[in-house]
Amino acid sequence: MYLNRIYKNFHLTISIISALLLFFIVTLKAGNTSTIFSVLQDLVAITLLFSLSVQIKEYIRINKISFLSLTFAVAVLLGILLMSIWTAQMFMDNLVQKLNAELSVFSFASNVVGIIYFCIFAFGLTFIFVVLKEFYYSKRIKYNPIYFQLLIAFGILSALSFTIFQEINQAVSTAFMVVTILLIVKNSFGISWIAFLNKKEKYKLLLISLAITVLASVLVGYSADISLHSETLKSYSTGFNRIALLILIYSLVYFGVLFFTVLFHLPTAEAFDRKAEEVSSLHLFSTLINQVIDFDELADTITDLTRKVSTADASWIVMKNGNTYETISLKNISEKDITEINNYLLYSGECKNLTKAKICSIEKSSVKSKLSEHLSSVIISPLKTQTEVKGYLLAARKSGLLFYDDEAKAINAFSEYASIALENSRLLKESIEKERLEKELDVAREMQRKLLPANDPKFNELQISSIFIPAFEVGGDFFDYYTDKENEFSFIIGDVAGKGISAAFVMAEIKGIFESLSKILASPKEILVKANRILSRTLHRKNFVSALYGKINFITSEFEFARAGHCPALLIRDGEIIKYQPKGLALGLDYTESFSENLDDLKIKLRMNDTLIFYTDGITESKNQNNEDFGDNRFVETIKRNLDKNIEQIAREIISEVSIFANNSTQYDDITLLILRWNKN
Amino acid sequence: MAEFNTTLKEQGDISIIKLKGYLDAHTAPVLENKFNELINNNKYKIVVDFRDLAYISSAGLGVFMAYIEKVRENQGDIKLASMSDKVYNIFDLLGFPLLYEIFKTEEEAIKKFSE
Repeated sequence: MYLNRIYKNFHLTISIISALLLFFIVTLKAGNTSTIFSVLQDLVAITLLFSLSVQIKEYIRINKISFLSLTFAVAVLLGILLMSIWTAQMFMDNLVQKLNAELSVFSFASNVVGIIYFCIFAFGLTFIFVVLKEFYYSKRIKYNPIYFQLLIAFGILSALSFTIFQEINQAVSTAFMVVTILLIVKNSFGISWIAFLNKKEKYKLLLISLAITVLASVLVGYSADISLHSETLKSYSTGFNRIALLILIYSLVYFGVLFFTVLFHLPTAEAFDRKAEEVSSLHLFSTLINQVIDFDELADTITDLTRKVSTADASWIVMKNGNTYETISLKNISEKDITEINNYLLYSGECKNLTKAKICSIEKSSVKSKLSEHLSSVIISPLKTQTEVKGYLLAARKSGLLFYDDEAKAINAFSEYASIALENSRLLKESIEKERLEKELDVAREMQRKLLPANDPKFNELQISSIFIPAFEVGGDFFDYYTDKENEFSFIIGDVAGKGISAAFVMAEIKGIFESLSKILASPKEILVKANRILSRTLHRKNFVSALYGKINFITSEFEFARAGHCPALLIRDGEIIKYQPKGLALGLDYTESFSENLDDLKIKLRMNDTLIFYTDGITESKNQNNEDFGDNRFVETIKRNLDKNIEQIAREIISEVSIFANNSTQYDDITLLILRWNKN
Repeated sequence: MAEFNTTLKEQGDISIIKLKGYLDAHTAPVLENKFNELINNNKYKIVVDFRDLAYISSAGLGVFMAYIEKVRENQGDIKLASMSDKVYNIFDLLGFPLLYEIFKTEEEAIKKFSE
């Protein structure tokens, strides 16, 4: 359990152990100045620094601390270190002597204070070093870690040689130190990460790096001097003093260079910000194109981004709608101003045949005085598909400055993306709508199919043949058979005004009404009158239904029917075609008594081989490519030519004649054809 | 797609709507708007001129049914005029002549209003 925890905090454990070791070595050493002790101290100190650096690095990586915050932390740490030196100076004099004195209660106490002092510096400087290392490795274009590794190696060599040869010769250590400083200078150039900061952040960085440079140079002064401060540190590790100095020099050089780099970057910071905004907007855009389904939302985003990219004060999108332009999205501008500018730019012919973004000044134009805001410069960019200009993307600026060319270029690139995105979104919307309509029609067609009888009934006395061809949009034709009564066959054929799902609903209602009425009532006229009355409750005023109800009695050979505004009935007898069109209003046109008064019942005594034909206007109103109707004449002629055939053949001939006539024209209405042949004397 | 449009002419308190082209389920809303406009302006004496109408479907006929009650409640009427035989046959088949007065010419229809 403890082992596990130690393993987890391996580096923390190492740090604590090294700190304790240093404490004991100093306590035991008691003023001994043997080199072996000093080297041992240095090694322990380096271990401490190493373990601390690993932990600090982990901490920075895990918390993803921004570079600006890191520089701020460096400044604060340097401040704390300086404060520590000043505070310690009050008792440092005593402290150093006691540290190196023989073992006693006082030296022990001094040692406790001393190790804390040492640890503060160890931590502070390690932190600064880790930050410098992070900076070195970040956003480097040419990645070459060898110089940094060399820097560390020479730093350590310089520290160790300083300890080993401190009594004999300082030249070796100084040589190493010079090399290290050269490496520091080399590594401090080529700072690229500041380029990714915005203007405000750059100002902050400028101040912080100035503060760091000042603090670091003061601290370097304390370290280089044979001061009490450095004496204290040396008591724990001679080499650490050297390392501390190098780290301070590094931060002094690095932040000094940083200060000047930021200073030189400042004038271009704004331009850089804009470019960065442009790049990120375009990137955002390319992902938007494939994501946004909502047209209005997309238009809004485009308008907003345009304003940001061009640092404009206002932006808007207009789309062509016939001969006029419609504003589909706007930002920071009133409808009135848009209308004025549109009138000036779009309708005046100023921007005819525009193929790319154009900068227009309205500073001296007549339109300027009509605007409620003081807009002075406008960029107009066409939103075009491959074939035509669909609309325009506009941005306007208030200040007296004209837009720059590079801003026009940015907007141009932008509008190219925008037109693709908007077109995609529009096509998607269209296809969704189309799909929805098709689904609806599918439902309507399915309903109609289920409402119609599945097969034609068979009788000895009567042959029945029917053909139904639905139109794409569901035309509202219906027919049904009633065979419940003995020795009797009844049927209805009709046409609901209207199309699609609404017609299908009326059809379903009609089917129910006639099915029940056919069981209760006997006379076709009565049935139609009653159906009209029932429909008055539900049928919309502009809807109506044409219908023909017929009944054949197998015993009396009598055919009785009534026609409510439907196509006439045709009787073929002895090679002649007789048309029956008794009076009758369509259902739903008139709910008063006059409906019944104007509806005639007709009775015909059938003879052997009498053929009855019922149909809907889908046949006679079938159109050819010249928009001519198939018409009554062609219909009757077709029947005449096929009189001697059986009724299935007659039905097929009629339909084939209609389709030859229509040739590839769209069938706008349902086609229903019902043929009966009487087989009894 | 077949075209349809209307033109409106005023003669005294009588409004004359001239139909042109193909009146079907798709173009019916054009005529509906026209009727709405007249009714909103309290114009209830309406003559519809069919001279240039090439075709009318059942949905087109429905438009007349939708407004006739409202118009008659306000002592007005919709009178139909100058139908081609083909268009008349469609009206006739459904029994419209029982519900509407249909005249040979626009003038006759206007005259009827002033009687």
